[in-house]
Amino acid sequence: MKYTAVIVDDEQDAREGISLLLQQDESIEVKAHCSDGITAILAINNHKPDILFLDIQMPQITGFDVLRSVNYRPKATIFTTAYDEFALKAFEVHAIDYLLKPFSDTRFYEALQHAKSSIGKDSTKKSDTGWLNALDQENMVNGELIERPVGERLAVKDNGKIHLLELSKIRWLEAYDYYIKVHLSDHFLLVRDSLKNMETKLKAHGFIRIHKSSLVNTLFIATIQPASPKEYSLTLKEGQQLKVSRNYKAALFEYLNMRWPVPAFNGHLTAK
Amino acid sequence: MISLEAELELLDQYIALEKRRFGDKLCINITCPEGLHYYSIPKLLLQPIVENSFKHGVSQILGEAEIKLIFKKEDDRLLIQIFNTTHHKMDWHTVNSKGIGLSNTVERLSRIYHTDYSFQVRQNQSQILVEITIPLQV
Repeated sequence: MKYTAVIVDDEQDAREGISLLLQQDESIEVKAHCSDGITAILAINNHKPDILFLDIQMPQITGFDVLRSVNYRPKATIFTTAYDEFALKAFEVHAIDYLLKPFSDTRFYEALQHAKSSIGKDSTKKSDTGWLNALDQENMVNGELIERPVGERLAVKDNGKIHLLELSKIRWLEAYDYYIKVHLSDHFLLVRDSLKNMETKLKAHGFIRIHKSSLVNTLFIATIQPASPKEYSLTLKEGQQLKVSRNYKAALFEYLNMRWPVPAFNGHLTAK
Repeated sequence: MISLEAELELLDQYIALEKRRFGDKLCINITCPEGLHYYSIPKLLLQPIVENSFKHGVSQILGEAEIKLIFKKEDDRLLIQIFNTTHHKMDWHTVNSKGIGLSNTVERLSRIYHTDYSFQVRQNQSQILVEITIPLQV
């Protein structure tokens, strides 16, 4: 029987070490090496590995965050970490094994064997409902922006789960006290951050500030009309009306003249 | 005391170790003009500070991390700057810092130079800067 595997560790040597050990076993095919939580989530969703080697302590997104955020659960998860304090929790989420770094080759192959035999048994029969609950018992903070956007995505941590939002699905962002509402088509996520920070991050991706409290994805602009002598009113596709304040008006028009997404434009632009 | 050159060699060995852990995302830069190499500095003065850069900077950052060491001669003083990128939400403060790295460094500086040194830590959203000045001594 063949098994696929994904290796997640923020340290290069650790990834290479596990990879080398796995090369000795012909039944294992390593599909991806991931150096952080975001690439791990993407790789697990993409490759649906049988076995996952998962580091816990990683920058901003921990191994537990990764498990909470994937939409496929690997058949066997082996945690690898230099800290023993997570052991209990690891077993609560039904880890097959917990390798405390540094571990010996023998210890590693034991864990691997354990993983393989547990997959061999009827893995579907195993009660798999508990693990998410166990993760959810942790104290959760509200939405938090993960610093590095990956390509065309914004990573947001909400209730301990990492959402990789495609920028093209974000309609607009709204300042909301100390938070930001990230508006998607049918719901919003609350993120603890400043609109200014978001603006810096998203400027290069077709987002533009139109008001002290709103940042809009230009892809979703349907029409812009004068609302008062000083203000404009902007309508998003599928309805939503937003104000364009006079402070941001000039920048908006300048931006649209330069980079108006023509195919998306079906409204009427009435510039002064 | 040790020559700056020898101190940098020691530091290189330590950095080589950390590179094995974080090599793929680490960008490290050391700028030291040729003429400064033979001046003396306290042995292992820089080690704990650079260790902090790894511990609180590099290992906490998603994606690329940067560490910069700059040495400059300013009149008769040696200026040492150690920058590292950091995660902007990190709540770091000398006052509630429990570590001994920095307090030890300050203690050593004051024993060696009495009041003839300066030690400052500054932080903005994305960078921490540790700045030390000591007298230029051969």
